[in-house]
Order: sequence, then structure tokens, then C-alpha cells
Amino acid sequence: MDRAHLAAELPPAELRIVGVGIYRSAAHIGVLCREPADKRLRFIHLAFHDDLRLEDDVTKCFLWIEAKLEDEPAAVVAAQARRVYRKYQRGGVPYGFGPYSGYFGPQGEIQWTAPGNGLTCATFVLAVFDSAGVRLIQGETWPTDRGEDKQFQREMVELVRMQSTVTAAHLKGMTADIGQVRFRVLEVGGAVAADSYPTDFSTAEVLALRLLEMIRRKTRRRSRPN
Amino acid sequence: MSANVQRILREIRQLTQDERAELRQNMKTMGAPTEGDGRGRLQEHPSQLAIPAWLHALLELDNKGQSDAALDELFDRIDEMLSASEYEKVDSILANMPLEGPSLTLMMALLSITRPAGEHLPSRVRYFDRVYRLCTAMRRDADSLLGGLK
Repeated sequence: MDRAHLAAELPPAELRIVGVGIYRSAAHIGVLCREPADKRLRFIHLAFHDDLRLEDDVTKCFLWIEAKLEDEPAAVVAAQARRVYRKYQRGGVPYGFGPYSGYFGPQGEIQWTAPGNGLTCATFVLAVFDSAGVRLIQGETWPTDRGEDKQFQREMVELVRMQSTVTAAHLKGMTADIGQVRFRVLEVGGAVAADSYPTDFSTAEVLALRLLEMIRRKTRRRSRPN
Repeated sequence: MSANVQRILREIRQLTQDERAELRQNMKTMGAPTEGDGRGRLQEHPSQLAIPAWLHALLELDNKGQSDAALDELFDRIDEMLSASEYEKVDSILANMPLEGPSLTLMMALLSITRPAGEHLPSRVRYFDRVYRLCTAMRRDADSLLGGLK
């Protein structure tokens, strides 16, 4: 946990090579890395359906975590994040709950096994690390029977339905994928904060709770009247 | 002499006699030039002649310590070839990529971008083995660094 920081206490600019940023709501996560040209920090994240973004402004990252990697693999993860952004900045990363498997096909394309498959902001992070050969989690240890996850997935289908770019086939596939394993934002953050990869669910869950406590402690302090 | 080469030479100087012998054997197996074999380390390795001009430029960039920019360029070039199913071109790069000179980061990046297309790239297994042996010779944890890139 010594690599997890509240931005208010240590700015993300202190990030060495690659990590993740998490919003204050604890509901959104993305990859933090640097641009080679100006060495400035970038936040690359799947904002929503077909909406991959690269932000110069990292102030929304309330919490950030440096990945525990040696310099070489860390640099490759960062470069993969930038590559995926360059390739998909105009669309092509649908939102969905595809099964946990390999993310990239032989032509460098994001690989879908069925219509409706896609990534969430959290699985986007897993996919980027995975593309660099860094398996962050032991996906097979994650629970698949959490009612709250199914409810979340149902709500997300309804939100995606409102998108003008979404196809009926994608919505049908997304609906069929309700019940697929869900990797929650703070669990993925917890996995990045772990001392070794891949992280199993029980470790990630404990670390996720600690991250949540860090956020709550800070937000409670903020909301206290002077 | 690049910073990378200087670093590797420093590491070699710290090796014991037995470790040096092992390294020489590894280098021979990999087909890389070794000390005193008549192919000085500053000479261009024959394999480098078979790589495209853009890769020479990219290796120069990497040599100058601009690995991040080199990685972006490498990814874009290979991505383009893989998207066009030009597997033979990519395989030729894997077959002819020199081990002496490029940073370990660049070598790992090449393994990373080619991993999903591994079944179309027969030279990738040999390239992986060469990088693995180099890591071992440099006394780095090859399993931890490369395990996910096989």
C-alpha cells in the first residue's frame, strides 16, 4: 500500500513510470503514464461505450497507485496504453462485460468472442497491463455470484442503450453477458497496489477496502466544517 | 558506445570467471559477437543488415536513451504490419533483431506487441529464447521479466 497515494497528499506528477488513477467516487479507473515528447502525465481511460480518452488533466484522479514493476515492464505497459489509445481514439472499444480471457487478437485488435462483449473501465486497465505481459489478477478466483454486480451490469446496459452509436446486436450481447464476472474499480486498484502479481481475489478485496478507507478518510476531513 | 552497452560491459566485468565462460557460451549460442571473436562489438552485426531502415532509426533513438519514443514508433510500425496480416515482415524482424544494442525495454516491447500473433510468427520462439538467455546472462530475473510475454 506504500504505492497508493491520495493526490492531495502526493500529486500524481510524482508517478515514476506507470500506474492507475481512481476518481473520488471510486467508480472510475484508468491508466496513468507519461507522454514521451513532453514527459507530462496522461490519464488514459475508457470513459464509456466507444469513448476511449486521453486526458492531460489528471486532477480528477483523487487516488493514484504506482504499479510494482521493474522499469522495463513498466515502460512497456505505459507504451501499450498509449498504443491502444492511438489505435482506438476514434472508437472501437465497446462497453461490455466480456468473459475474462485474452484481450488482443493476432492483428493487435481488441478481441471479442461474441457481439456485446466489451470492456469496462476496470477491464480496460487489466487489458492494457495484460498486453504488456503483466497479468494483474487471477481472474478465476473472482466471485461470479454477487447480486450487486448483476444489478450494476443491468444498469449499465440501460445507460449504453441511450448511446446513439450502439447497435441492437451489441445491446443484445451485453444483456446476455449479465452475470459475467465483474472486476470492480477498487478491486483492480487493490490488485495494482498488491506486492506481487497476479493478485487473487481475497488479497485484492482487502486492499480495495483499504483504498476505500483512504478515500473516505480524506472526503470526511474535507466535508468537516471549519 | 551507447549507455546500454557500457552498462552491460560493466556488468560483465563484475562476473566471475565461470560466469564469464557461461556468458560467452550463451552469446555464441545466440549468434552474437563476443569479446575477441574477430567481430568487434562496435561493428555492425550481420543481422542488422537485414532489418528495415526505419528499425535502424528506431534503434538509434533507443540508443540515445529515448526508449519511450522508440517504443511508440515500434508499436505503430508493427501494429500496421499485423493489421495488414504482413506476418512474414514481422517474422523477419524477429529473426534479425540484434541482441546487442537495443535496450531490454525495446526487446520486451517487441515480444509484447508480437505475442497475440505468436502462432503466425515462427521466429518469435527463438527470439524469446535469445532475450531470455540475455536476461539470465545479465543476472536479471528472466522468469519474472519475460514470463508473461511467452
